[in-house]
Amino acid sequence: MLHNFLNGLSTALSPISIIYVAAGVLWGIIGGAIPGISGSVAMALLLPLTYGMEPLLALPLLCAVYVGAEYGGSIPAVLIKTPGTGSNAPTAIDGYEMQLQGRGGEALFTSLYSSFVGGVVSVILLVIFAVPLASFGLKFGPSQYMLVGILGLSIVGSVSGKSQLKGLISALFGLILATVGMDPISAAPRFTFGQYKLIEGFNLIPLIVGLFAVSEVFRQIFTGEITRKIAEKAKIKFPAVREIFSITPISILCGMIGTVVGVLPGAGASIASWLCYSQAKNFCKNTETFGSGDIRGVAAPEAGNNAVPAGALVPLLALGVPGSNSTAILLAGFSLQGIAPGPLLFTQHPEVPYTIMACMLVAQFVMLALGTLIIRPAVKITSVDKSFLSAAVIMFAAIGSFSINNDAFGIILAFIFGLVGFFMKRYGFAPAATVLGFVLGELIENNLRRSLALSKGAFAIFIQGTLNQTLLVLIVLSFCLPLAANWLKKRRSA
Amino acid sequence: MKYFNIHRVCALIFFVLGVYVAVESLSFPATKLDPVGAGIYPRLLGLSTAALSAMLFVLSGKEDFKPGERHVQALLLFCVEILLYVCFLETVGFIPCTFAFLLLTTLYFRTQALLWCLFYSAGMTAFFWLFFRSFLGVLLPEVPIDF
Repeated sequence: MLHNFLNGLSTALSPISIIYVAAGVLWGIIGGAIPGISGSVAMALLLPLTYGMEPLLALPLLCAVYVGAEYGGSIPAVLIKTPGTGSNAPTAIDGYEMQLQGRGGEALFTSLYSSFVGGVVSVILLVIFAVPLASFGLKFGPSQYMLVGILGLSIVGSVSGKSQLKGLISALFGLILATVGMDPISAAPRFTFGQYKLIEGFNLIPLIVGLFAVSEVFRQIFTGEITRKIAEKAKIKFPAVREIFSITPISILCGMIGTVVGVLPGAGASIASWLCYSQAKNFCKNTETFGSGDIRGVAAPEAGNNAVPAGALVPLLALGVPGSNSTAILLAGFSLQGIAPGPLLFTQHPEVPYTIMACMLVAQFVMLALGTLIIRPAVKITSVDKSFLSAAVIMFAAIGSFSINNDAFGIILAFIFGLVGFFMKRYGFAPAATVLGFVLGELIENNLRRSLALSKGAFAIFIQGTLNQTLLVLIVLSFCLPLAANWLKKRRSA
Repeated sequence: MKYFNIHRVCALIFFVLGVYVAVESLSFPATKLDPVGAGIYPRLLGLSTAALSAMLFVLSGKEDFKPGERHVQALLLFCVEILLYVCFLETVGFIPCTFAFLLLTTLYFRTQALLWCLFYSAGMTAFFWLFFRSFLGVLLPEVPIDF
């Protein structure tokens, strides 16, 4: 294994390979930073160009796009509260607050550094545990997936703001929004009001850009902030070495969580980043600053979502099973090269998986270098006149929403969700909890119903087996620990 | 203390939504293949939302809400501008609509000189078109030839 990986590393470190990986990472960062494009679309746009390339250049190129896109989405999330991809939504919570406090550079570097750490951790785990992780992933059935979804929901308390009750209602609102459209099992239309455009349900992009970005522009207009002159140019400050050290353990831990989530087919980077945010909030000390510009609130989700690409490679390389849109495109890339991923790949063509893994490692370093170069010009965006910036944000939101189905309905949805998000935030509700509910809704409902169908309606299925019991303990801990911590804090201060 | 403060109005809105979801979910069919049915999960969500909203209604009687500085007219005009943009985008085309939207927005909030606003609107429109339409292949509506 190590011998094969070192061989792969020597290929990955050749100048031509580094150039391809750098091009892929850069393209991924651009694609990830634009709402509506995302990593999978960026990969799909590049896929035809890989036809005729050497397999050991084409496949790492696609993987590098995947790596770059997961980081790229955090740049607009921090700067203009417009997450480039769904998995960067939790980053916007603390990242944007840091930017408002003049710590945009710090937030962007934290996001970059933790993405790098998460990515490196996941590649190391991929190299060592690819085959055992693949078989672990296969142990997850519908009941386990449902419990993972519930575990993700435990974060509601930390994104709720002052009122936990309003946070819970916001999350339920998101879960309800996720039920709109064709029922995934019986194909019955639900809450579509006879509109065929709602048959497929709401797309995540208009919902996220509406609730986060458009609502923020509305808030700036409503409060008159948009016409205020910017007092001084944005200063670029990087985090202190002490802060970098303080977020390293969180990034390593979230990198591990992200890798495991990535291994699970269908779970994806959005769930990984929310899960990491919630676990960081639950297990860190002094968490009252989460949601108001805490550096750990940026580090945790970014490390988690950047660990997903390597994790997602596990079922693809070891079993030939794509677990997401991006890995499905990667599978198409394998097909174009005439290579079939699966158990035989490791014995018949070991150079392919190990070179891909090595290139993923190189991609993390390239991302760190390119990302550091990007931070300085990116932060300057916040020095642009607010009316100019807000108009551009609305246009990015509109084009991103339009590009989903190439019609104006996406823009209408983004506008409606913008108004909803504006009113929710103004009256103390939590749009972030709504996004969380929406992201997890499909996973929870589908797997709840599949589990109950398998057990013929018996809820006992959720408490059977060691894996389920472990997940249940984690859920109870996730919900109870913050409450217990609050209670202890109040008692101490009393 | 006002009986209907804004928090209670919000609670009522979510209560109505919850009840609607719960009632509407009764009409979703169940099949032999899916004994759980399409309605149980949304019904559970609807009832939970209604129950929590009722709790919010009861608990939020004493909360104060400080409205702060408000620019309602500006927000309404901006919303109208977005609606007009959506209405005309597919008939008039992306370039004139986007140019007009950016120009009107920057002129309305007028923090820079007219020339800057014109330059910015034209430049950004060109950038959006070239990047999204020409480079990424997003099918942004073109100006109709017989327009």
